[in-house]
Amino acid sequence: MSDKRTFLMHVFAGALIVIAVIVGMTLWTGEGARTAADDAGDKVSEFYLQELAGRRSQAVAELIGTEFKQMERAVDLMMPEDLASEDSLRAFIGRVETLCDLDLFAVVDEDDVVYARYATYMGGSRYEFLQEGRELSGRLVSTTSLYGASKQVCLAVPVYDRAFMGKKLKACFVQVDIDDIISTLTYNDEDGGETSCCIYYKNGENLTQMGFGPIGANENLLNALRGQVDVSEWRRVQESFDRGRQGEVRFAYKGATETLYYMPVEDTSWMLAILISDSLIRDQIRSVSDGMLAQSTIQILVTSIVLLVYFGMLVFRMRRVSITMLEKEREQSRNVGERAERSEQELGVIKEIAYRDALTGVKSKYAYTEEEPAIDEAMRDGSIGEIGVLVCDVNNLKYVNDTYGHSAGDEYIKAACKLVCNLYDHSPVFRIGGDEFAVILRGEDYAHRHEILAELNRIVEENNARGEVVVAAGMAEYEPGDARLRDVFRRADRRMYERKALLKQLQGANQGPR
Amino acid sequence: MRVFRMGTSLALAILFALAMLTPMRIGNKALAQDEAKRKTVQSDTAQIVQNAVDFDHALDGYVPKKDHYNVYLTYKLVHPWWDAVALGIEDAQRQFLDRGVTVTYEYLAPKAASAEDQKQRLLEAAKGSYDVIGVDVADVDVISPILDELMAEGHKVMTFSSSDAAQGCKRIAYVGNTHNYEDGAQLAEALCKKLGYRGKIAILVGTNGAPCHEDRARGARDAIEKYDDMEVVEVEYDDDSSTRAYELTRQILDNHDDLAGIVCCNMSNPVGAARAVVRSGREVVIVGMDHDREALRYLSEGVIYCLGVQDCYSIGFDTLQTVVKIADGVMPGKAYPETKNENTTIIYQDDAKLMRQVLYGDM
Repeated sequence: MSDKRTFLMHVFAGALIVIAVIVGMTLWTGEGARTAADDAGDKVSEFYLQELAGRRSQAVAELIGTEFKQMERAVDLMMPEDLASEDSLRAFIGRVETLCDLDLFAVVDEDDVVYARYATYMGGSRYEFLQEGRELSGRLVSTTSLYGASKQVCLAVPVYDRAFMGKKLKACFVQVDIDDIISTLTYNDEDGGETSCCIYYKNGENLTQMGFGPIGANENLLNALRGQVDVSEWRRVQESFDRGRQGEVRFAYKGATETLYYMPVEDTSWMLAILISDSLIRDQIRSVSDGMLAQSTIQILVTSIVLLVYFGMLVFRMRRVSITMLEKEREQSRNVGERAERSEQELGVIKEIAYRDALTGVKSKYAYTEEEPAIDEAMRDGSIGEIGVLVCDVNNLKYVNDTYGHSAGDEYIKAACKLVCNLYDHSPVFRIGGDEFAVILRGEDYAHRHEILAELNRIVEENNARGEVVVAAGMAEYEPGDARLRDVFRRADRRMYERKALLKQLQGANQGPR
Repeated sequence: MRVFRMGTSLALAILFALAMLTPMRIGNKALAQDEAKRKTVQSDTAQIVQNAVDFDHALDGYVPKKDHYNVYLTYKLVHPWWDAVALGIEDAQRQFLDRGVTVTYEYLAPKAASAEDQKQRLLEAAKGSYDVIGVDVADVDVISPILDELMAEGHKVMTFSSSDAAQGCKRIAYVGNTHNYEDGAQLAEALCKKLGYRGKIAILVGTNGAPCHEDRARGARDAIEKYDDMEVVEVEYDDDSSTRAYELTRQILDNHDDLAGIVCCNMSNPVGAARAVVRSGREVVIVGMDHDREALRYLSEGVIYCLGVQDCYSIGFDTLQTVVKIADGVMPGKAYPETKNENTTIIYQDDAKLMRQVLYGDM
């Protein structure tokens, strides 16, 4: 019972170890895969951000470049007749706005008077490029504040060799709503996440009216970053902004981890910033790897369960087979025992049959032959001691058989045997032939052999006289020089015949058997 | 017995739940009270700022008689304050355009305030084909007769923005600040109260002769002189230059070691005054006018005590609406008032943050 329990425990412990190793290896591999996925996510994110920022920056630069080109083309198209009167100038400006799809186009004279499609106004205090002491020598990107904190981008180019109402024209410009540009650059993904895009001045002030991810529209980006990253990191970002260099910084802000990528916008003093939820790409990659990992885990678990069940069933089956085999073995051993016992019994019976004479109940000739070798051996080695053989032969058996039938003959034999057995009750009596008996004399019977033989002869003679059973007996003793029992037997047999002859004579005298 | 046990358990459960919920309710109530208090403060500030600058304007139901108007508007000098007025005008112009009415206009001024320049501009405009001529009067004595002349010539003339013409001028209407004297008095009153009605005060003014500036200075002086322990020690004009205001303030500070306060009557005054006071390191209470970005920063820092913010946007918007009605020959009355008053709101340090955010996007 204890062995069985130990075996089962070993089996289950082994199964559990195997499963634990498989699960452990799976988790380890999974963790490795996840780390690799994260690394890949970071690299992809970085690349994605760079690409995204680059494209957007380029888009903004191209848009600004296009506006500049349109303006320059508009100036080229400006004919003297367009400058003939205020009405003709306004009409020209209107045409330019329509043809070149410009939001607001205007020209400025040497007194900073701005001529727009519907208004003529003073620009000196309103536009950066018209501030006192400033000379416009080429393309200039600036911003102008509107009431309500909104700003517009002001793109100005110098104008040469043109005059209006006796005043030299010195510049023309367009005003563009920067929010319109930015709103087209912000990308919403399908999962609701947002990749924010915004433009900042180099001091971190928002150029637009738009929020930037978790950072409010009115928040200074550099101020918002302060405290979210360590001081050295913040200084690096500030310096990058100040010098118009691209860079990247990761920070946690209002509960979300964000990655900010920034780069200068060509031909401006702006910084284009892209903000992406740190985990947007990594999460997607991770979700794929997690899905695969989950699938593998499920597979491993199912395999483990199957293995466990299989082990259980195997053990159960083995146990049943063992029990069945044990039962069979028990049954077999029980059968063998029974069979052996039965064989023993049968052998005993057979032996009994073989050893016992069926008619008389004394030992058979077979028993005599079985006895003989042992006595021969004892004779040979000199350990035989005193032994004698009595040989008897039933007289008149043929006569009885022939006269009274075989049944009477059998009875006759039995009577003869009884006679011998009664006298030699300490010695084995063998029926060694149809009408012959032998007695091996030992012990008491050997000691009184002569007296017993004499008594037998006396009874036989009386029987002979009365016509009853007659047994002729001859006795011989072992004598030194006898090699085998047969030697003794021969002498006894010879004497039996001598006696038989004698009894025949006596029978004749008594008128034969009755 | 079983029913009794169940009833007891139920009662205990209810008691437990009530015991758990009671502190939450108390906590929630406290939170709600805090929230309400905060909202009240916020809404007070928001209300003040909203009153001060109202960008939410729509044209009234008046239907213009023409589809095109041409207007000439001139003001004192090139300055951000009038740029803010211009934005209101531009918005109204866009809204008229949306209704199919084109309003073209000129909105011009000299780089430095000059009544003579303004006079010349008006006379020049009179030669043009403008439906209406509007002016922010640089000097009532110089400009008012010109306006009367123009009216006599059949031009439709109105005044707008910060300064009206002289009493009795025949101009058709005025849109803008009608209470400059009161604004000056109110600022000075706030200053006096802050100083405990004691101390020496300097008054900075903008352009000499500009009605709005002069009226404010007068209002301030009158308010201060009510108090025996207060004295106006100097009055200086900066010609609407913050640099000049700075220099003047430094000089005033040097002249008066015990100067307690400064009343600033235009937009450039408080900027220059604050710079000089900060530089001196002295504690001088400054009150002033308008919404200059730098002045608002000084307000939020507590260098300036309060500012009177005029609703420039509304002035501009309402001016153009009135222009169209005047051009159509509609006289003041039911369609529009002869004098359209626009608000001036006194804002303090608590309001500065929101005002900066609303006007300039500053945080």
